Amino acid sequence: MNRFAFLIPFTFFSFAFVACDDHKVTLSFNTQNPAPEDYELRSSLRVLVDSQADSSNAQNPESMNADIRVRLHSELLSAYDDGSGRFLLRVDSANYTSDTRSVEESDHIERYLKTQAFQFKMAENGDMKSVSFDDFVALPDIGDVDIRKVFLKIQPVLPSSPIAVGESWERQQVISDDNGKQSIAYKWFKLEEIFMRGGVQLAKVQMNVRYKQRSEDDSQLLESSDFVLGSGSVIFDVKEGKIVEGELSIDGKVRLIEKQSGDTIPDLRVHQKISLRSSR
Amino acid sequence: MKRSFWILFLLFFFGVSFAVTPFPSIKHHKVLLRASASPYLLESSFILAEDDTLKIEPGVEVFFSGYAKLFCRGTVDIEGSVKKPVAFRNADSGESWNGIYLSTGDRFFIVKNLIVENAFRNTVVRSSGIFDNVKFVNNYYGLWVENSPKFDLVGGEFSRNRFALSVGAGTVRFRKIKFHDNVFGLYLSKGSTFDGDSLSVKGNLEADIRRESDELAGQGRRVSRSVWQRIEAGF
Repeated sequence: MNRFAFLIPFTFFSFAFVACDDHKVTLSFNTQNPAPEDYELRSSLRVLVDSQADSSNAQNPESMNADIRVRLHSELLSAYDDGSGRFLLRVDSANYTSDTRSVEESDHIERYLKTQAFQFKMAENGDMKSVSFDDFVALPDIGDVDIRKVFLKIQPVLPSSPIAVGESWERQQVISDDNGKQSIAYKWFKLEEIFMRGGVQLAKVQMNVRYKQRSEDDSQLLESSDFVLGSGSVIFDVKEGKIVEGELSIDGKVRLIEKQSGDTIPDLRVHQKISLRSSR
Repeated sequence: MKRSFWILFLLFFFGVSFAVTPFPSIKHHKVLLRASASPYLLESSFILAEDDTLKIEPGVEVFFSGYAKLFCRGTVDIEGSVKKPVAFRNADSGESWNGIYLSTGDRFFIVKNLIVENAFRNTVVRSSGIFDNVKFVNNYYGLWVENSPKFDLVGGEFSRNRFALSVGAGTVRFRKIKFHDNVFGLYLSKGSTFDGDSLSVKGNLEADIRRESDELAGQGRRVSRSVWQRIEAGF
């Protein structure tokens, strides 16, 4: 009798654990056999002189607005035994506007964006490495826009084990530029909900991003004194292992230092809104 | 029989007349463009790495399609002659090409007797070298120079460009250059300067010399266009 008395609660708890496990989902990118995918990636950037730093023109601060909208085609180039895959992302069409560039310059950027194609190696959790332009893409010139930077910001990194709604995880994402300089973005995620839409199981993942901006060349240094912060969400197709849509809103304060002239440019507030949407 | 002969003759004639050589790839760290194989066609971008050398013989003509760019970090030796200049042109008459981009560091480049037409922007940045008798015709930015104190422009010509010679940062030095019939002759970004005969910059449509700092002061502004654009590109 005593033996049965012990077995009954043990059996109950065992079922309880299995039941909890049923509520967990495994989120991972399909890096082995995904179908080609088309995405619309959009970035709206607004930069303005920080009115606290420059009170002389607080009513009408100097500003810049730029908007990029590209249609991206993604396809797997090769799948590796370690579970990762090499992908190609190609810009099929592009639309670009900016209030600080002439019509000809905007046309140049638009045409440049249309040539962009880059490859990257992606693990199942979304960690991306070797993000490099295709051999035939012209390297960015002074002031040219690099679509890779926009894409990397919104790319989530998924948990390595099954996860339940309400659980969170953190990842550091190392981002290397073409000169080999690395920066780290700290990303925090939380599985907000699992739901069905059109017969497809989707996971809504909340995403917070923080990183310090620092890019430098011989003549200029662009940096943020404090963390640049971003928040948004990604909706992930659990079965297909792909992003369905995502949005990220980023705010920060940056300053640009002209090294040779020692020019002091007032602090600038940057607001960027990025959205990514699957169009298949 | 006679008709077949003429058809074959015409095919051969046009084939020879319009044959172009694809821009060669790098072999043993060298690329040589020979006059005998001219004209060349560059359809996509070409990157000359730091340990590579580009040499172009007199009389060579290179056509650049759509968005081709000649991006040079290595050693550049383009030596056209007065009678047989080297020419860089767009392949598609309706579209400009990207331009030549020189970022050679301490490797001294030599570019003599070159004609550059219909590019968006030709750039010399952080480089040392000489442009001797180089003509920039009908480009958007004829030549954009940045942080290249050991770069000299000697005896060339800028005509029908939107911005003939632009200085993004630092100083540009030029001697015996003609600037005429451009929209803007010399464009100086905020903080940049020039060392040359300002009287040679004349006969341009909108302005001979335009200083961004004057524009900004007139508008009560402090942030230059290049700053906005660099933040956009770097953020």
